Amino acid sequence: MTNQDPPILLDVAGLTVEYGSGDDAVRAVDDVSFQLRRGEILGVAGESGSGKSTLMTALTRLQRPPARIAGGTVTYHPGGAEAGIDLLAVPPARLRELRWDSLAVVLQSAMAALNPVMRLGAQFADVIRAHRAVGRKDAWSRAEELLELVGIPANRVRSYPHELSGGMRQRATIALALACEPEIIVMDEPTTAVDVVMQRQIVRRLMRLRRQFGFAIVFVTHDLSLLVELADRIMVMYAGRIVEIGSASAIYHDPRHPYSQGLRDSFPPLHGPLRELRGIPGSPPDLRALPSGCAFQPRCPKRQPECSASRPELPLEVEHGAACLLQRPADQTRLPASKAVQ
Amino acid sequence: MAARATAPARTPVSGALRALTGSVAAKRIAFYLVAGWAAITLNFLLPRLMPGDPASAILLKMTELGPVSPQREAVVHRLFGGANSGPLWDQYVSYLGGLFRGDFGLSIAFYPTPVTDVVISGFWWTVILVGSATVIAFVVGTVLGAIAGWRPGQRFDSIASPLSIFVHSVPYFWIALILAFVFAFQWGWLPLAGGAGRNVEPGFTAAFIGSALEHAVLPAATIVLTSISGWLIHMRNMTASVINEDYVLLARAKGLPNSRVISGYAARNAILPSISGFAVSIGMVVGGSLLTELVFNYPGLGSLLNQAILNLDYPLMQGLFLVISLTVLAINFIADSIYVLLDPRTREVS
Amino acid sequence: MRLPLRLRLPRKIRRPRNRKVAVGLVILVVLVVIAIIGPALVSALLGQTAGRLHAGGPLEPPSGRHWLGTTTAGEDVLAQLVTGTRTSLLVGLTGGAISTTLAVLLGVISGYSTGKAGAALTAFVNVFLVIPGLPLLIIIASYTQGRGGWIMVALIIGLTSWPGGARVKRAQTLSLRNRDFVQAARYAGESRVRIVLLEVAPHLAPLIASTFLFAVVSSIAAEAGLNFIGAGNPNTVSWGTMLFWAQSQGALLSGAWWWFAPPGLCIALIGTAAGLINFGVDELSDPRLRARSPRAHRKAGRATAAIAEAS
Repeated sequence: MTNQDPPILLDVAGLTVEYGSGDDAVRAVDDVSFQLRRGEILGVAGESGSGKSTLMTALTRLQRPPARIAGGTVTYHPGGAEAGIDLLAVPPARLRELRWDSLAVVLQSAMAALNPVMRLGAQFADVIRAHRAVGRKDAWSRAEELLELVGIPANRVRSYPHELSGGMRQRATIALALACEPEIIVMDEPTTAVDVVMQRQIVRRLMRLRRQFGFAIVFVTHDLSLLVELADRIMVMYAGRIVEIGSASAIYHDPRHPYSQGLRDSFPPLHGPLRELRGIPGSPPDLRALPSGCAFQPRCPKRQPECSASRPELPLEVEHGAACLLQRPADQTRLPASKAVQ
Repeated sequence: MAARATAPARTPVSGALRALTGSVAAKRIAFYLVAGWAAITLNFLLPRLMPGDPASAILLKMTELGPVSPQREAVVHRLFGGANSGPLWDQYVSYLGGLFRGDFGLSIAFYPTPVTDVVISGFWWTVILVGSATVIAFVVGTVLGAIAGWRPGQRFDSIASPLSIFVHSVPYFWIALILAFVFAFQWGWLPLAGGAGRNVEPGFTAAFIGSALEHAVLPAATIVLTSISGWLIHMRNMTASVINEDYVLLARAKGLPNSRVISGYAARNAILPSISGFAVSIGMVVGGSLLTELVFNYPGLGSLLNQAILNLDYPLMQGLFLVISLTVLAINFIADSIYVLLDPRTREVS
Repeated sequence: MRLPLRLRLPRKIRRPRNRKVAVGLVILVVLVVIAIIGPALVSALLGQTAGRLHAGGPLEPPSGRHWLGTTTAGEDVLAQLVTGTRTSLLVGLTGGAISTTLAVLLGVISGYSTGKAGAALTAFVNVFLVIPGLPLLIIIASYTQGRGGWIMVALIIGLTSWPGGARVKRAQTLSLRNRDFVQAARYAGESRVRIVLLEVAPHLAPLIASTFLFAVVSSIAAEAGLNFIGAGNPNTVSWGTMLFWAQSQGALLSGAWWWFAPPGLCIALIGTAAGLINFGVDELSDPRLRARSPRAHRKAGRATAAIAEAS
């Protein structure tokens, strides 16, 4: 990173999401902190059940009961300004204004995310008219422009979701996310439900749109090799916690957490020489009964006796760091003091 | 509809779509024609399949009431068969012919009034009572169900849902008895029986309509109270599962007002099964309403059916069954058509 | 190298501790017990039987001798109620069994068979679905004029009340038909009967149970309706005939609430029990329908189900 780092848009600190309450509460997201800078693509990787989807919904308080936010702050700095708004504390009416206008969402299955009984145009028009003072006709013609932006013919605005192909539907949800030109788009596995060819197309179009509009993306996926292509920085989650965070190339070439290594080695690289593919033995942990110490230790190929004794913490204020006992403090790449975030 | 106002690029597609939409409608109409024919034929077959000889029972009753002309005897045989009524096929043809002329023979209970006249006298009472009560129950039940399902487990849901299960299990006529006992007998707030005051001349006058409304309150309340719970439970469960759909999550993410999320996304989709299940529900509502009329001695089809049964008036029973079945079929056809309008996916043939 | 692979056994299936199911079951059991020993108990303790006329004065209100009062003919209402419970439950069980059997047969066959036969059977089911059941029931019953007692009534109810259940079964069979394991059995060359019996039917079992429960309840309600309108056999003693006599003898105008209130309440109770059981079982199998109050989430199992859904 250079000294002209773009300003911070979103500052998540200590975010904790629990399912249920009291003694039986299960932590799906545990003390997660990260920052998103303007125009940046932050990748979030992890297996199913790692809490990544819960984290995404919690950013704008969209979590569904019995999930509830148990702690932390999500501070949004409009336009990267110094003054921020804690999205977890703003009154509901203000939150509604900020949703989609500043932070839009793209969900995994476009078929499920689009209302089956509403025309595409109407689904664009209602969000445009909720945030902008425009008439019905203008909202619909804006919908046509947005569809054309993602390569869907304008006349499809009158179609129902079931009349579109899978790829078209997914692109339509991306167009929908652009409706109010938000600063942040959260994408939850947007390419998982489409085939590989379509996936490439969508990713390429997404990069072009980002250049055009300059929004930042939080891109959630289990596909680490896709993130390496796409993201500026990558955050690896395991059992609700961040186990490693760093630049995309650092995570790819020098993964420091054994879990990140396993994740990397379980996907073929999109480019470059083939590696031997290995899976990660075992299955994601039961959040109700997490193993003692490091949550990954029962599956970890590099397990040490002390791994089950204490839980390693992710070092603060590092450019590339991993929550692993094998990482001695000296190994963590520190940020120069001048760039450390408060 | 789906094909309207599309650009030239889609014209061939839209043409094909329109043709398919047409065939969906044609299919539904054909189905209801078949169902109507089945009801008519069932009506023809039942008295002929049953043990005993309804025709001679009817003729016996008629002779007790007065002389029976040969034509009238022929009509009875046409409708109910009997010993000397010729081959089944010929009976069927003349039965159908009689139906098309609107000729159902003479009622025994109201001898010698034609069945057609008796049925017509009760038809509008029932249609207006049951129709308006059903509309009220559907609207209120659906709205309350959507509220209960929107926040399952919250106070409203935890009271409304178990209460609905209870009310839904109570027989209509029992609710009618209780309401009549409390509001008409004990407190005397409302009339106990009848469709309108005896001394009010039927007609389009304020006095008559006022009296009819007053008499309709308790029967209508019975139907609304009992049938509301069915719609409520249904809508509550559908809403509770629809709010977990991604499109509802996305609607919230869009920052739409809650009212819009419920009306345009959650309830809009949750209501579809209520409408597609209308056929089963309306049959129960109509059955229950017939018994309710009986309690209040309401001058509709239910009370007539009771009269017909007590007097072994088979011609009237037959006529009533046919009219009730065909009316229910017509209502179902309307509900089906509304469903097609509400769910664009049904307009396509898979 | 030792693989840190842990074989995870499925967690022991918890016994359904759903309050709705429990309440429903208790009501059902109590009613069944009343049906079995009620008449004997009432005759032993209070010396009352259902058929005895002039056991007390006409229309006596509830008292120590007649806990639920008497009818116009001086019959003991409580004795009638417990005897009626027996008849109504018998009608319900018989009618429910016939109706469920027909529903399963017609539903599964129409859902599984393809071609013209399947289409014809489907049309048959759909036609009966839109023809209102109670009027049809009443017409048929009135032709029998009360011959055959409660068995005939149960038979007619069973024969006319299957369409709703058949529709549900048909839809479920249609979806099962295209599942992989059924497809696999078909490609393996298993006979149709075998596939239906061994692959499809087991998956329908919970649905069949719930259909039966509701068929029993709706048969009881139908019996009551049938008798109430006068198309049953008024000489049997059931909840329905009690209401019929109460209505036709003007219990309402005499203010004899003790006569018509108890049988209706019993019908409502048994319906509520079935409704609660069904509702509870639905909640157990579909976590999305579950209550969402923090109070209801003491059970960690529920939270996990929700997590599986959210991630």
